[in-house]
Amino acid sequence: MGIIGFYLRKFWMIVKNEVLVLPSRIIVFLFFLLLLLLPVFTQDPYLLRILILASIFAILAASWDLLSGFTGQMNFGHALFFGVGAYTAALLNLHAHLPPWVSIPLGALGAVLAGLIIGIPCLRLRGTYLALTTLAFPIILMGIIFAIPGVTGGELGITGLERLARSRVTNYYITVVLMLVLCTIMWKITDSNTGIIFHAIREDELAVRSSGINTTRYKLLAFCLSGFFAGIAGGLYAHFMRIAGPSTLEVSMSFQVVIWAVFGGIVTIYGPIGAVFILYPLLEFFRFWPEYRTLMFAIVILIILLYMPEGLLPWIRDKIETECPRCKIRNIATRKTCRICSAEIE
Amino acid sequence: MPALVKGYFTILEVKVFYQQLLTFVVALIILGALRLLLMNTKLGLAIRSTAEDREVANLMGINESRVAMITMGISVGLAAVTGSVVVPLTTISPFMWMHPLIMMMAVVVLGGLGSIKGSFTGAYILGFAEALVVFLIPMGSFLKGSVALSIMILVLLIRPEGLFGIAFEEER
Repeated sequence: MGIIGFYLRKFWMIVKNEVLVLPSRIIVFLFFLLLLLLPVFTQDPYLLRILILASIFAILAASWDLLSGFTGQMNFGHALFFGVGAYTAALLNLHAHLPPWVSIPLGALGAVLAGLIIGIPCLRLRGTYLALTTLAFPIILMGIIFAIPGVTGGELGITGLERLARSRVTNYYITVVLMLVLCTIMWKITDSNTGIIFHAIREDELAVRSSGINTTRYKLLAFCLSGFFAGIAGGLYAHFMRIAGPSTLEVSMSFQVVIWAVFGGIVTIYGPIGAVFILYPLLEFFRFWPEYRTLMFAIVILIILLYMPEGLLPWIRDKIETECPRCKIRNIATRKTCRICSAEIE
Repeated sequence: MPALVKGYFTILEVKVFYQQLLTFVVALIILGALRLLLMNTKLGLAIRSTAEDREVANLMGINESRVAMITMGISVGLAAVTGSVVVPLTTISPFMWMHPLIMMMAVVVLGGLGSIKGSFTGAYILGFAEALVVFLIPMGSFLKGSVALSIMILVLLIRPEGLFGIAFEEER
């Protein structure tokens, strides 16, 4: 009994001293709680469906941020990983009869392979050339898929996949928990030494190379990691929609990921996730006026980016938190002194 | 859309419409004029130096934001001219932007950024590649984009700056 009390007290101390002191952490905490507890209050299948798709796309947008935001390898063809993941999972499920929990990781491995295949030639390119070359890969794959309709189903895609789970609530929990876990892993990666090297490669690749770090290896690692997470998103999408079609490889899919990430603020893993959870339901909400849906969507994005060029979430974070000038620890904006070193904050 | 000039003639049993010939000549004239503008005028020099290094161009007394605006205007104007010229040759649909967008990027990257000659050559290589694939390979019309883009990627593997591109100094 005593040991449980000890751990409970320890947990409460962590929550009180690490989470409740910063509004951004409180928001993240509430976001986790809300997502996990939502089916208790409502089981509206439409709402759950929107949130499931939003979590799948959140994984995708965060993985784009890992590659293009952190490592600076502008990838305009992120749909390639998504599509490879979806098609691999679908083919394995349909022909080898593997259950979703095997076919989705194998689909992600397929996407890692795709990341290696496009990563190796793209290492020589930079800037605009890299962006436009990566844009070409999903289009090439789409042409191949259209050309062999016997295997891939052509324009109709592969249908009749196994469900993730029987009920919608179980589906919801699988995708949401997987999203939270994967995004936490991504955020941890960007916070680790590897993440710092990714940062440095974006800022100044030559300097990183001259300090004895094999940038080639790290850039390939970024491609593979990003491909892995995007592949999982693709496999989840295929199994949730029960179809893997060419729409997963479209150019608009690649650009949508970029729009989400830029809207939420790149070089922050939480930015793209928050952006997807704002924009995806917003697009559904605008259905009350269907003819002007995409127009209103575009106007919202343009206005937000006009006034918050760094993205929505970093802007909000800067409003509610300030950085201590002495120890660089973040504080809530209402404090006059730093919570760690008690230096004055102006 | 009615053609601007009607009628056609035949070379080697291939029908060539006068409209197509007109489009071809207009394209050549515009490319030539653009090259003249970029290489032989003060404005062209300003545009090229801004591309090379914005800050230094600014220090040399070039109003870089104005140059950027003029460049943007010229490029958008040329795109609009292309659109209006292509109207009599194709059907118009709301989704007709997709294929030209991709092919345009592929052409420019293949030829090398910052080179009119490169774009010209790249456009011909990719155009003929697409046409050949459509006629020679079964199911080729699906593969035409793939083959053209694969050519682009192969060229970039050998020459990362494109066929005629200028390798800019890496910015530090």
